Amino acid sequence: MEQIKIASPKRNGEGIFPFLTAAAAVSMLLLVGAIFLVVLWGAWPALRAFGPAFLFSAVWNPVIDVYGAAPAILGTVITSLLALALAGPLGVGTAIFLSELAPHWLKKPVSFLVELLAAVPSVVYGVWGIFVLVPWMRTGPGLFLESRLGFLPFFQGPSIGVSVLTAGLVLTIMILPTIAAISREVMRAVPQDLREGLFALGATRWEMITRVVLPVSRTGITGALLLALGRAIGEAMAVTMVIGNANVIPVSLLAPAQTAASQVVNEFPEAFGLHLSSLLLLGLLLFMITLLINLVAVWLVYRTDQWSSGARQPGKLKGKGVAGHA
Amino acid sequence: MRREFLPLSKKIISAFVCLGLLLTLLPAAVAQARPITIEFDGRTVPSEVPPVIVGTGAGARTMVPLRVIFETLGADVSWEAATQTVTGRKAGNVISLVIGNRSATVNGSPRTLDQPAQILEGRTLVPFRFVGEALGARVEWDGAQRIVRIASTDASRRRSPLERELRLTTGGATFPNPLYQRLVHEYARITSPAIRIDYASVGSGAGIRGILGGTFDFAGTDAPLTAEQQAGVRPNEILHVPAVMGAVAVVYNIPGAATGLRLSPDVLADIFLGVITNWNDARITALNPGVRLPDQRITVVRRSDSSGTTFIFTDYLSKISEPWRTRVGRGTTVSWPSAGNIGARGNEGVAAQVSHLPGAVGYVELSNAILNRLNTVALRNRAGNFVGPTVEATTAAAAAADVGPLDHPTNSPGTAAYPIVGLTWILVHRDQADASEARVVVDFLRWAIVERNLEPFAADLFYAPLPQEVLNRVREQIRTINHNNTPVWR
Repeated sequence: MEQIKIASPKRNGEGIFPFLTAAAAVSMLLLVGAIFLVVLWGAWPALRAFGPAFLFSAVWNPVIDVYGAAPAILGTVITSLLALALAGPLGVGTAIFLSELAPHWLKKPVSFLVELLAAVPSVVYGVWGIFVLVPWMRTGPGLFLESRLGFLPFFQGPSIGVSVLTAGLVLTIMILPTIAAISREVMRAVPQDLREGLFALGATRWEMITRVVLPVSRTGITGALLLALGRAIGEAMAVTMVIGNANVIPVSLLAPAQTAASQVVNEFPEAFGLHLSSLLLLGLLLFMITLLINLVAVWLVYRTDQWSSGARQPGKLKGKGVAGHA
Repeated sequence: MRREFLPLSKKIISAFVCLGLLLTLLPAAVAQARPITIEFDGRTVPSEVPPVIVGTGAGARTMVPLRVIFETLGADVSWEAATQTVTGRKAGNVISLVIGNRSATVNGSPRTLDQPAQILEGRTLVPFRFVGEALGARVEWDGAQRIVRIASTDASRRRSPLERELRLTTGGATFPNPLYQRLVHEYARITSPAIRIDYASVGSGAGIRGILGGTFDFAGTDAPLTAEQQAGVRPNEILHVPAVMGAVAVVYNIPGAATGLRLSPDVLADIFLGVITNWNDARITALNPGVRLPDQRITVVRRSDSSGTTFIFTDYLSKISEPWRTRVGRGTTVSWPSAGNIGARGNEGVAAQVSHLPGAVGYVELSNAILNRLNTVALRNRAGNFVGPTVEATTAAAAAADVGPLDHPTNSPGTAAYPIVGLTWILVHRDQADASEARVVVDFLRWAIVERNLEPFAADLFYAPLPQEVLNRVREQIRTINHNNTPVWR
């Protein structure tokens, strides 16, 4: 009798806990589904009015109620890719240093500072952008690029500070901690005996990093990059404050442009009717892009996790030319 | 609550006015001859000499006989012939006025009067509002009925349109937000503690959605409802009550040319259209003979977020420029035509960009131009005068406006009018569903707008007060608010 009494609450816990976690997971799914449906419902009038032409038209004129998303979508893509191109090498480099090379006393404070960057609210980056980065870009690098490379359409002047390039730089700083922190974690998950094995064979640190750490954590780093890209695409406030918000198809990096997220945050409060619907359609496009990127990123990080959680699969490394791992 | 004139007496007065009209055919004389009366806590105060209005325009002040106001308020008066000084004392408040002198003292600290105390036809007259408020009373001027209303503080301290707890949720336009926040705060101080009004600064569009959808009890907006938005409601069901006015200043940053830039309407439009692209353009220099204008590219800075300020500015440009009207039009967001224009977020964003970027020109709400010490353009108005953005020029624009009640009084014909000014409205349901809410809404609107309690706060924030003609219209509008076909303001 006593044994049963002790055992029964334990069995109850076993039953309830999976149920609770499953409920939490399902509610997340329902929430995402509900957001999608509500946005789709709101965007429907615009979707019906413009159809696929919405993606390709450059006209956005609330006065005559005609809307096209080409400048906003292109602006989003260019600023995000620019940020990724700049933050990617920087972030992965930081991660390699922190996980493989940094002396022990330096690791903790630098990692802490990197994570602190991620915690700064985006509006703070925006304000810093307006008062520090924009004037500096106008007179410094902007003017330099305009005078030296101004003959190229991508660097056509005049340099006025607010630009695609400035927005890309602010985004670079914003997504850097995401890339650095996640990449460091996946590199640290690389089994220590792989590194030691390579050192035992007489490899240098450079060989160890390029032939073991990077190949093994490759998918995890890709996941980090995609998560960062998702953040760059969705960022609204900081971008709005430094991009200049001009509804033009961005050609020159020194000219003002706008992104889908900045357009939504700018115009939403006063919009109604087809204007509101078009903004929601823009939001729907953003939602689908970020959702897709996040799904890919989550899947890639998940694969790396599986690899590091004990499932040592020596066979996988043979193909990369690292033989003899016991 | 204070007592009001009965509608009956109003009818009698109008009957007399009609009679006068028929008999003399001199309507103006009849209206002017009606004497000003004084009411104290709802009672009419007898006075041998009626109050008189001294001064004109914004500086006009009602003067009342010294003895009447001091006795009414129960203050002790003393007179010092040598210095011509009148001193009044009541419950620890001491006020001193010198005849013919603009300086006065209240409890020892000096104040300046718009109109000095003066002797007229053997009577000493003092500015009634100054004296009344200095002695702790509330003073109101009812221009339509020509009544001076004085309320002793103890009676007026707690206006309580309602006993039970009530919370009104309102919101909308961001342009008048600083003013509305002050107003609801101030209203909370003087009304019953159970009543609370919250104003959310969410933008005019969200305000309109809020009142149409039923989430807001009233809403602020800088743009009247469009035909499309009106379609869902019964005609005249949503009242547009004008609250205050504001000027939109054109601000610029021209290196070397510090102040005093003058522009004509067509030149302003062509700058924002991108036709004129350099500050040394012949059309700009022709308007500014004394100003040295550099060879500097013009960069247009405009609002990136949807805004009533943009609506007022583009409303003006559409009125004065045919190319602007056909190519761009007016709206809270428009498709800006000039090459290389910059969109900045909020008035603060435009002000920041203009002050940092050489060659920039933009438009901001007047308070932002003043607080950021930006140079403002004097615009040529319809009467041909160059007028800069000021509070006085804004009120002058509305006083002379020749537009409908749901239009911004831009491009006003007044000689002293600044041309880019706008109204901001409070949207309220004419047919109220809830009796208690209706009483609070009406009491708040009446206190703030009709009784002009918003004006001191408006002046601090560089909003302009409504002219008397508009206030009279507001009074009639608020009187139409009803619950079950019974007017709420009785």
